[in-house]
Amino acid sequence: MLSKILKYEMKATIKPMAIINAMVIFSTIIGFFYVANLDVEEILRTENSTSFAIMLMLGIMYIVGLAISSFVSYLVILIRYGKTMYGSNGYLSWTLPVKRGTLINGKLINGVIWSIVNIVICVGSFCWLLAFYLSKAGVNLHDVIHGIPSEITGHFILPMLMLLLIGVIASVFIGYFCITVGQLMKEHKVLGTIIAFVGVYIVQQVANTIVIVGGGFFSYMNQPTVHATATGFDMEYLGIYDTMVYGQIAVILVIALVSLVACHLIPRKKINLD
Amino acid sequence: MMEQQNAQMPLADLRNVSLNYDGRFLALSDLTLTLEPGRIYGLLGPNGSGKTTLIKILAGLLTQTAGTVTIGGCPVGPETKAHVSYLPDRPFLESGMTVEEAMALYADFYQDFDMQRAEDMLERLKLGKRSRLNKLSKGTLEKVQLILVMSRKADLYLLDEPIAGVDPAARDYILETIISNYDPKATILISTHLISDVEKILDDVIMLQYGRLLHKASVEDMRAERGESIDAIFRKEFKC
Repeated sequence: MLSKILKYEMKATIKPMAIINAMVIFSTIIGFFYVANLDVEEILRTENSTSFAIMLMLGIMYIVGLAISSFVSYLVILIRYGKTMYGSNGYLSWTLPVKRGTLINGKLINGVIWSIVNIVICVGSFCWLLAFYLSKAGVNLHDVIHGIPSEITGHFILPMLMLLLIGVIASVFIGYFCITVGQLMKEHKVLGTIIAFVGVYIVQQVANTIVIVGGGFFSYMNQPTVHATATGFDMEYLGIYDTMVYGQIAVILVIALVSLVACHLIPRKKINLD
Repeated sequence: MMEQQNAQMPLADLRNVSLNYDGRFLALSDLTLTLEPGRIYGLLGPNGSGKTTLIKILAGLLTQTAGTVTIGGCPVGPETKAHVSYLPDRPFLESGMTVEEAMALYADFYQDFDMQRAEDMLERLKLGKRSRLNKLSKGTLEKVQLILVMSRKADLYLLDEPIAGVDPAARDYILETIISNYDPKATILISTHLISDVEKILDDVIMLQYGRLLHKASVEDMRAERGESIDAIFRKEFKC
């Protein structure tokens, strides 16, 4: 039954998601042709020129556009969940001959898949365009990539990618949780959902602050000789950084797990359909 | 599941069922009721008497706060949902779907869905399968939803206000669709305020008031005993 739920979820979301992601790819291709026709090295030499300002503005617009696409795809996923689970379509969803958990998991998997697809397309498009831009600016990408110290890859790039991926997956769980909490309100379900979002955000920020400050403090106390030098990081300094990044990952994982459990438990007690 | 049940056993069995909303408003109070196979029940009562709540409990949308509910001997869950065909009192299909897609969804999830029966009924309605649900009129959408629900060979049909808000001609179509498509061994529970319209198809009536069972009797017996129609009895019983 999970495959059937997933099939119908995919069918219902493929159109808006395809449009959103196609727009990301399309704007990246436009960006490619724009950069291809630029004399990047010359523009960078004369930073006060109009061409430089236009290039900068278009670059910012492109990045904002990527952020908007991620936000819109997230909204599409959440609105669908709200409508099909706690809106008028819930009368069908909850009376299908499937287990409650299967129904919720099907929608969670669909939301996670589309969120990952969107983030991969956004990050991939950005990196591709950035690489092209840098190569036009005369930067030897091969040398740059091979010049990155393994410590930076291991302590910064990979953990940040992990944080991004886990954050994207967790955001789906948290979004569904907030909708599930919002539906408990007799009226103003949307307001209830927004309040739940604010609540989760506050909890997450407080937990992150505790982890960053506490983790950093205790790591420093264990290695008080650590310092950053003018020529680069003292590699022991990265231990403190690890504590903070992995601490944040742990916070997100705990919140995602609590959200997931609540998404399954709350409807056992109450389903408040429109 | 249902085939394994003893012939003497009621199809649906509610014992001392209560449900309160938000811990305050008592929608159903200590309700004990059985539904026998092969009967058409009219679920009657004024607004707020608990009709929709009772139907939602049987459909698995609400869970009672006290008492037990079984359908075919099983507590309400995925197993009973496979044998219960439910028509809510509002549009419940995704508006962007076509009629064909809605039929495919029913066929996918409900093993007892009879595609041929649905297509025949649609043909009678002269409605294209590619029509989008959000392009249909309110009455036509209600008919499409009813066609989907009645195209299942279910053991229990729960129809919540199936003829509310449609014109008299549409009501006749809906009642005819119900009568001509249900298996005589199946049970139908129809909630309605339009008693005079449905009275002719009912075998039994269940009257609720303040979430309690007021009457459960055969339509014939009730008419004979009171000497008037069910509609007239209802108007007297619930006169404001």
